[in-house]
Amino acid sequence: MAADWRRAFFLQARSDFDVAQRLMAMDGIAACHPLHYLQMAAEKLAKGFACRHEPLAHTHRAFTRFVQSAHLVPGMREACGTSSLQFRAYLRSIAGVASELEALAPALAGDGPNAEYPWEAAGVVTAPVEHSFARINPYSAGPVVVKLLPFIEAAVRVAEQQAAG
Amino acid sequence: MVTATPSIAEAASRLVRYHQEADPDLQRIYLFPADDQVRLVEVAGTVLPTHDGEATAFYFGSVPAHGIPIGFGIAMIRPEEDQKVRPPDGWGDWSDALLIWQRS
Repeated sequence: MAADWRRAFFLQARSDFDVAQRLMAMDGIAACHPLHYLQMAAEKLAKGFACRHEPLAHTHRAFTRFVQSAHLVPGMREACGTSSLQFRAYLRSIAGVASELEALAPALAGDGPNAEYPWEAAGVVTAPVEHSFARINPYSAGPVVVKLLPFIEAAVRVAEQQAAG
Repeated sequence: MVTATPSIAEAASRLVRYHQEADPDLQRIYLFPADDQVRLVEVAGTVLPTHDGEATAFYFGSVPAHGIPIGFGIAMIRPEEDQKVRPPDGWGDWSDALLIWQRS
């Protein structure tokens, strides 16, 4: 049963990731939409790796925790194409942006920006499509595109290999 | 209490060597014995605090290229949580844990 859940989480993570990439390649799409799919891909990826027999009820901040553990997984570094010395520094460099991406889930965002629903802050109601998402904007050459995207893609590949094996 | 079988112990030993090299901030590693996989709780001050008092584990399949012939689970906790938070679901309790590595 665990293998079924893992395979399903990884399959959905791949699909979410692919949709995010397609949205990023299109003109005129608000930043919230690819970010929404990236956040979901990251969440499902981490939840899949956290499956033992069935999905865990408690997977608070699972993706950030996964990033913090990834250097301990033989094969992950190779999938990311970095040297042993560089890999941990690379993971540390994406930890903040991984946490920001994960916090876009409405359940974690609180009164802050999320990628799905309007929020109110200081008396101003904002829709996700109006927000720039500054540092994690997927249309800038910022850390999401340069560093986090390759990590998620590599982790999805590792997940797929494990699900197939 | 389940004791570590030779194959589990050998795979655990290889993972510990890998982890020592990969993470200079690791302070100690516990093995929670099981029949079918290596289960490690690793202590480092660089990770998020545990949520709801239970460590979260991530599970991975065998990695033959690295000499790991069986699957393994890794949970990371902070030093102040050592032997205080609950181990991951199904791993038993701290009386089952074997301290298999500690930074000197």
